[in-house]
Amino acid sequence: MNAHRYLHLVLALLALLLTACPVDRYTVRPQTSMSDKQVVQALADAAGQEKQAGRFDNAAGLYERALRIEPGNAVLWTELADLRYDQEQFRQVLALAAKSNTLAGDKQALKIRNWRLMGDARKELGEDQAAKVAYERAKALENIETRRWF
Amino acid sequence: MKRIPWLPNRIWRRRLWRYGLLVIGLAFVAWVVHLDGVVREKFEGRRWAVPAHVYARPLELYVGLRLEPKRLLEELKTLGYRRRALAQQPGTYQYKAGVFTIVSRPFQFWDTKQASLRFRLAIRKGKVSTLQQAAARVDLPLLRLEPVMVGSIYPSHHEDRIPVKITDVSSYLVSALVAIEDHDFFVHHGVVLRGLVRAFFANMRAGKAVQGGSTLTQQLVKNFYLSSERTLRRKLVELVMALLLEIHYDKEEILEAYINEIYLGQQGPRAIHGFGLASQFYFGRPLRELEMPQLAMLVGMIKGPSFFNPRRHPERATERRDLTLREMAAQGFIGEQEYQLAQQAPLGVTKTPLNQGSGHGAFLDLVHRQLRRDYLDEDLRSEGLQVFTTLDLGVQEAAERAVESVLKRLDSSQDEGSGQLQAAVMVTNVGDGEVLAVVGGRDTTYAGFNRALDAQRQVGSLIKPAVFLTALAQPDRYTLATLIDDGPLTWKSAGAPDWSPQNYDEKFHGQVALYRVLAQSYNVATARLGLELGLESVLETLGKLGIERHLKPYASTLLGAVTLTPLEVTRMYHTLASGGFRFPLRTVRAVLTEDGIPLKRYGLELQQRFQPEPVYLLNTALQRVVSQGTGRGLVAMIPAALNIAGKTGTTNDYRDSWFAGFTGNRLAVVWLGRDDNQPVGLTGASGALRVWGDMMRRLPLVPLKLVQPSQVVSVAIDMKSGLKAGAGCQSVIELPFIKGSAPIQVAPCVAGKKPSWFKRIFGR
Repeated sequence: MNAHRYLHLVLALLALLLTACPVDRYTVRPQTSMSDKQVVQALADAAGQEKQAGRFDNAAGLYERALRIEPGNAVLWTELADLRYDQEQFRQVLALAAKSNTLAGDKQALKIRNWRLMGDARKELGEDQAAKVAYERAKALENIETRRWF
Repeated sequence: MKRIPWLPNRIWRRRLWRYGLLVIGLAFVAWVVHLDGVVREKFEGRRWAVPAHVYARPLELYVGLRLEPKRLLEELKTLGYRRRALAQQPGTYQYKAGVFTIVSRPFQFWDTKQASLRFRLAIRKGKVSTLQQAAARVDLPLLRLEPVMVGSIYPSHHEDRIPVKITDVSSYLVSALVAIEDHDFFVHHGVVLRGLVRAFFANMRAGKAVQGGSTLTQQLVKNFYLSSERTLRRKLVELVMALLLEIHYDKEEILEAYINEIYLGQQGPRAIHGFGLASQFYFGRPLRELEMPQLAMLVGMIKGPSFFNPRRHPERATERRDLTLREMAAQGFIGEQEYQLAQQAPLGVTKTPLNQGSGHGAFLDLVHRQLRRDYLDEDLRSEGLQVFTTLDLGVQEAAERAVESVLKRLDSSQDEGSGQLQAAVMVTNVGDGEVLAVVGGRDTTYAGFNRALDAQRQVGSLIKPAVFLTALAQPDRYTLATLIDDGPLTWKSAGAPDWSPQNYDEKFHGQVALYRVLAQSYNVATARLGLELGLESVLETLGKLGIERHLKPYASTLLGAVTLTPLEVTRMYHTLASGGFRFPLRTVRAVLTEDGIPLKRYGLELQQRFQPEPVYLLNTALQRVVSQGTGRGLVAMIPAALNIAGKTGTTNDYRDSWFAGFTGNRLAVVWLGRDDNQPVGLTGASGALRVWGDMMRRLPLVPLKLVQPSQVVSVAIDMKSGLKAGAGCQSVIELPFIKGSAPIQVAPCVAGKKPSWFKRIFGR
């Protein structure tokens, strides 16, 4: 009986000691901080929203901030190309999509998107022959992709 | 009726008096009306020509950012943040063992207004590991610290100021002003008779004007509307204008104008006006963050900004501040205890005015030139524009320190004219063409000749990559393995003397693989290759790389007997670093009006100038320059794993020493030489390369990982024959080739293969 009472006392003291300890909550807390990939994603998402809202300059600024963090991210270059298309800066679309292609590696779907974008921009510029070539490049990549699936 | 002779006279005299008085009265009224017009016109319109203020790039914080605590501490110091045991006010921070708690200041960026935020940031192993709101402990995706103001483009009369609103001003500032300058400010109507009389007698005694007896309103009139002459007439104008000002405007408006008008110091030609700028100038932080004793010091300085200059005469400034504090206490603005504490406070001025007019002169010069394309100079100097630039203070600092320390060491190796060695550096961000730092000369505080932009110097071997790129763009003729003859060469052309280029080691090296010609910077083989390609096509490549000036089609151009500025060389190498895309080099991101309304954004722009494949091949060869060739001295300073690509440049008689190179994130071009173009006895490797390395090792660097285009394959090559290697070959090198251009012919060293001369010549 006595021993029981002591045990309670010890447990209570222990609990008190634990709660009173100056524990740094940051070291105890599970690591939930974002990685720089997520930061880039957050910027790209925000850019997407600005673009939707028609605030193109803000959107471009956000993509540029993302590119400053991860200049080798091919998707960002394509997104920016897409934005420039909406802004009717077709020469920039061509350059940005080409830049994305040089960084795309084996991302076939992205390359297809880039070639289509280039085709669309060429068309807007009245360069029909070059547009056709670009669409053909997209088509050729699509065929490779399809073959890969079967 | 008899005429009484004196009557008309008397009447006339009286009339004369009457009319005379009327005329004088009317003239006086007209004069007052005129002054009234003057008073109102200047007060209602734009009161001052406000200079454009130029900001460095904001430090963007996010998890994963490579950042040393030391660098962040420096940035906070430059921004005038104060370290506290518990940071709660904007502009303060706590720091302990890699963990910061920072309370940022609110700031109007070009795209959004960022409110003040208390956040916690931890740095582990050189990277930001945590970024959270301090109270709510919510993760933050990213955050910008407000940018450092690095300069102003001020009007030709050199008045610089940062206007503040009266509502943003501490009541201590107002009470200090009232206490020491004008007790009755809130009750008088612009003029105090008592003060005038006192001043009048004092001036009489002295026989000249010595005392003002001015109210704040009079002081404002004197500074704002009038010249500095001290005559009775001017005093009268001042009195009338002060009364008029008080009739039209309330005390707050007058006080606000006074606070922004008053002269508070000098830095060279630059005049420091207003408390907003004075706060930055003396304390390195915004006015609203100053404490009471600091405000009292500034107010005390009004009487004589140079006499009471706290940097030059701290004892005078302290004495004057204490007098101001005493007056504040005597008039009940502060309590006794507050007064005692304030009196003991240190002055707290910064050692030098931070970042103003010094150091960044060369960068600001480039900013100014770029802005002048879009804005009238007058607008830049008067409209209070806010200019957001790409300047990276960390990189700028590293560049300046590298120049300083390496040149000091090199001085001792100079035979004569020690201290005459000059330097220029440009650093850009590879990803987007933003200019991060510019050094225009050895003395970075001297705003003189900007060598980075204006020094036209022979470039020597720096030009060679243009020759090799021209070759590699023709994969059916040239690959990195193609053997080039480095035997004696004499070039004859009509109307010009024969040209026989020499190698630096004054030897000939026979058949050398193309990549090695570049790595070892062999002149004769490069010249032969260039002549084979044709001068015009090499010049065309240079144009596409970004050299816009017309270069003469002389054979010696192939070896860099042309003059270019470091800026032009930077353009050229930036096109290579970015894989064949030309980015206009930018120093400005955006321009806002004084009220924070975006005027213009300078976005990322690019053009594809070359196909990625030949640029990739060339860049791998430039990596070999550093790993095996003339640039290998870098390895002593920077880890080889960074795979840096670069090129050295040396000119005749060692007059110019160049190095241009890039990592995954930074491109830098360094030039060393003398302004009088005398020899400096340095090669690119023994001079500029050392500055380059010394600078880069101070910066967070990203390794250069060239993305291999899908049309490129790697093939093992026998170094001796330049043919396909296999088992049995002793010296093998892996080289990239554009598909279809790699040698099919197997090298003689491959086991079991006998060399077939017929196949070697015709088999490819």
